[in-house]
Amino acid sequence: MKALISKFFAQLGVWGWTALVLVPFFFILLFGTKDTSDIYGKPLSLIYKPHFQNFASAWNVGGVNGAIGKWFINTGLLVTVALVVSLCVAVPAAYFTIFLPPKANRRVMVTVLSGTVVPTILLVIPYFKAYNQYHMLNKPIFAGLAYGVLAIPTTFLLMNRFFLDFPREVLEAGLLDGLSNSKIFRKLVLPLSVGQIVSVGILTLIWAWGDSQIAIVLLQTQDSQPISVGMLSFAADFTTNLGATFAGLSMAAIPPVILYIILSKYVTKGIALGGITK
Amino acid sequence: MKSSFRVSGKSVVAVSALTSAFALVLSGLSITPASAALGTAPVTLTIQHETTGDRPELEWHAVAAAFVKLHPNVTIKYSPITNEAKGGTNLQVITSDGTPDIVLLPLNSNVYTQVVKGKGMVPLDGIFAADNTVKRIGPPAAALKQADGHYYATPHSVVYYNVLWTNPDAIKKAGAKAPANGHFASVAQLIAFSKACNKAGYAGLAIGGKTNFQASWMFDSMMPSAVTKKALNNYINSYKPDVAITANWTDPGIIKTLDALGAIAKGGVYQNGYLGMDLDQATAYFTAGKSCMLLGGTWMPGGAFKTETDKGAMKFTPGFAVLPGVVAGSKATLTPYYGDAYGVPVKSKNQEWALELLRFFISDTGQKIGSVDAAGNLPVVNTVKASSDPKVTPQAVQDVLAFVATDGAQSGWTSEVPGAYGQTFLNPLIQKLQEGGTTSAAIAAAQQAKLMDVRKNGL
Amino acid sequence: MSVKNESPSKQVSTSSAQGRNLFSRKKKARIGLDAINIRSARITLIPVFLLLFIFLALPMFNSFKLSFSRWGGFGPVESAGWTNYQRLISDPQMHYSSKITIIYAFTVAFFVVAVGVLLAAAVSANVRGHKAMKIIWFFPGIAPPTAVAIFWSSSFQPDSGVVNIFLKRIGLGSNHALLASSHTALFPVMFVGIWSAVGFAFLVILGAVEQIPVSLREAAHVDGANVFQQFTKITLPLIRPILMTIFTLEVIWTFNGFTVVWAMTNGGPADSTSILPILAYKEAFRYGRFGTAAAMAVITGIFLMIVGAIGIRLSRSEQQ
Repeated sequence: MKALISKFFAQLGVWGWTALVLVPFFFILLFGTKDTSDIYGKPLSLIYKPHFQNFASAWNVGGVNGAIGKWFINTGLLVTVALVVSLCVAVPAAYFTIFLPPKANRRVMVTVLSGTVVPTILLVIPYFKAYNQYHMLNKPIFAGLAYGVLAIPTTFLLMNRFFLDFPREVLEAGLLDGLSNSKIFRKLVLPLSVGQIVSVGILTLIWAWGDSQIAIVLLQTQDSQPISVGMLSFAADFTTNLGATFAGLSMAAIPPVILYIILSKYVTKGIALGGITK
Repeated sequence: MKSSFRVSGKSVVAVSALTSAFALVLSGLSITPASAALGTAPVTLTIQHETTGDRPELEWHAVAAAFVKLHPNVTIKYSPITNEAKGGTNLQVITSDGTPDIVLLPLNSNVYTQVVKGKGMVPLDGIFAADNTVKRIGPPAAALKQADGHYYATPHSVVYYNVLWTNPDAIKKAGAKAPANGHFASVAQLIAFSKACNKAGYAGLAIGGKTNFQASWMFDSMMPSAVTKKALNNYINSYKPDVAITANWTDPGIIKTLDALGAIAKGGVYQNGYLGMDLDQATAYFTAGKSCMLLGGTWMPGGAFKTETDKGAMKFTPGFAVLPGVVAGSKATLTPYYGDAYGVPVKSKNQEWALELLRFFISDTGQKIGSVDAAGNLPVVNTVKASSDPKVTPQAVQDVLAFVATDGAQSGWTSEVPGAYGQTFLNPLIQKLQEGGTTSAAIAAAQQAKLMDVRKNGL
Repeated sequence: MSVKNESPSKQVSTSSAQGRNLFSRKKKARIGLDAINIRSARITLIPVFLLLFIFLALPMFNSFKLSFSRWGGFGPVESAGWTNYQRLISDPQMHYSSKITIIYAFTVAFFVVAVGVLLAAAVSANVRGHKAMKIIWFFPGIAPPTAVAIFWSSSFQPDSGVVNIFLKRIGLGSNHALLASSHTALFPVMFVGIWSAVGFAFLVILGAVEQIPVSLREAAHVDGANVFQQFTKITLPLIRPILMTIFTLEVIWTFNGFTVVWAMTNGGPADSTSILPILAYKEAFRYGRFGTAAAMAVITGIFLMIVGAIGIRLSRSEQQ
């Protein structure tokens, strides 16, 4: 009986939380397709005349045709560079580091780890100064470089963990077949690590997609901004037109959520992996 | 901005479409064609303008179209900037390689102070020497000349702020007593007015309390009523080390002004949640008919009001009122602002062309095409008059201009002094005061300390 | 912004154990394979350390240097000695911001972990629909923080906001302007901070819970413990190190958190939600005082490193 009651409350609690999580997304979609006067007049009504004009208004926010489209392109560039940099640099290093003597391996890990507790606020002002000096401001690609480097520690640590558990027999078999060590890595190890690389990559992607603290400093002009910063600086522009605001929000929020649903297996695994305590 | 600056209401009304067209032709001729020297190679100019209010955009689009007609090799691009950024992070845009060729420089912002100090702008001496510009702009031009003898920014239009736009329908329904196109007699009258509005379900006065300027606007309007003209002039100039301090911030006039601002907030004059709303939101609040008044300026009737009326969301024709004076019998003032100026950064890759366009922009032709006809603004030069056509200059604006012609307008302290000493410093303090988080005396002391600091260490 | 960093400290908590494992396992395999790869390890590690040096070590050093200077964002940098620090020490806003940053960070971190534990407990007890919920609960962590913050700040607007519409429906009135008063603005911001961070903490905690051998819990079940007792007596003690770690991380991330607060309030009203990163950003990029801003960043950084060090220590000693 007692168990039943606690089960009941547990069920109630999770439903409540689920609702709390979903409600904003529901409203973003609902209001995004409602006329502003309907939002004020009958906010909760589900029967209304869809007002897709909102999306056009949002698309041209700030009076610039296709402003949001440009922001998406900028975000795309930034995230791609961040992924390429972090994966290309960290994955090979994470693999080959497993062959170091345990003490050296540990020392490498601790050094890399200390890189993850550096507060962003300590970095942005020098970044700004240096980027300004070397003419790298307002270029999403270079901002992506910073994101990529900052993602290296996590990528390295997660991949290193994974490679440590990689079956040795496979590697030794490769060696016996006369493959060089770099070929073993490329032909044997990489294909078997795709799942892990994807899940680690998604973590970087989510972060770089949503962060604004570095981008707001390094990407100052309106046409160089990613969606996270663009939305921010034009929030005031939206506020008079609630419908367009919500249309804009849905354009910013829904794509990553859909991507996540498709790849949720990897994301969940990637995060849980961080928490493994064998 | 010196107090001698006035817009004559009579002349505003008197100018007919015919004479302005004639002026257009004349001034068009007075511009020496420079295209020969500049060449005809294709060039793309990027212009920065503010996003909110619609006006600068309209103005530039019209001027640019005329300019491109004269110089078909020029392509114009736009780079919008937010109100928040124009006085802050824009410094980084202007001084970077990616800078637009013509940039927005609020004269009372830290951006202007820093970029002039660091020699980041191209001198506009040529523009001011040509076309009789200094004389056409008048007193504001003299104020623009920097200590090094150069001009770095040119204003383009005059707006008046601290206009209290009213909603006559709401006021009537509430049975509230409002001065018709005139001054509130006292703070008490303003509070009583708001209480009547509240009873009928309206807010008294809608303001964008979250912005970093609206709280200090009211200070600009009310402070001149509590201090002498001489003192006001000293407050405006005393941050310069070579000007002797004759008026202190701890003087009774300032304390009384701050007390009045506190009393207004405490008296429930503002809308619920005003500290969480920016000016756009407050404007929407007013146009939707939720408040009796809005703290705004002359750019609104042709901008947000027109948009909302066209959409059918704004269902009344606004009138206006002016804030009360601080002490009984004194009058607060409307405040002129010509401070959103434009300049050409040293980092611009098309300086010659940018200068040429800027020169065209403030020529009589440019002023007529852009500031007057396209934006319905009040031109900054005295050789071009605001249009009297209500389709161009809305009736509400013309009423304000007529009022200014008889009643005058006083310089606003925060739009005259550099932001680091003025608006950006004072505004958060007034926000705190409105919430009861600090006292008038404490603010006065802080502002006085800031004054001494700026005189000693610079901005 | 938080997702990036998630694993490392867990890594710390586990790396020592892992290192020992590795060592014993490697003894056998260490023959040819390791020898020929050590050179590759050194080569591939060069770019890692080089980039980390350029993008982490150098900027930190530069921030430190800048905190002793005066710079307006443009033009030459002047030396300023200790004046920036002196100014901050006597600045009431700095005191206030430090205080609310600590309150904000610890409150959010506490609730994030608490809700995360409860949800993990429910899911491990196989409540209905847990498979879908596992996915759904991370939505708030996926959507860009800017979008999330804009949504919530519009929701807290009086009358027209979703929150107020809801409150009106249940008879509590619709004129609550929580974000517009300096006394209450921090609460909605905290709520959004918690709302968006729980999903991640939940997944990490669940990962830890699922590592607990089923046999342990079954044994408890045989002993007559109910689901609730099983959880408090068996599960919680076993995942304590992870809870410690995730709590420390959440404190650090929230402390660092810029986007949510900036997008919701810009630090206002009247600077009442200006946590340290916001204060430093404003100081630099709004007021053009980069030296003072750097000094704020250095103070924030030192504080965070202390929190991080204590957290790592605690989670480690708990584990042993």
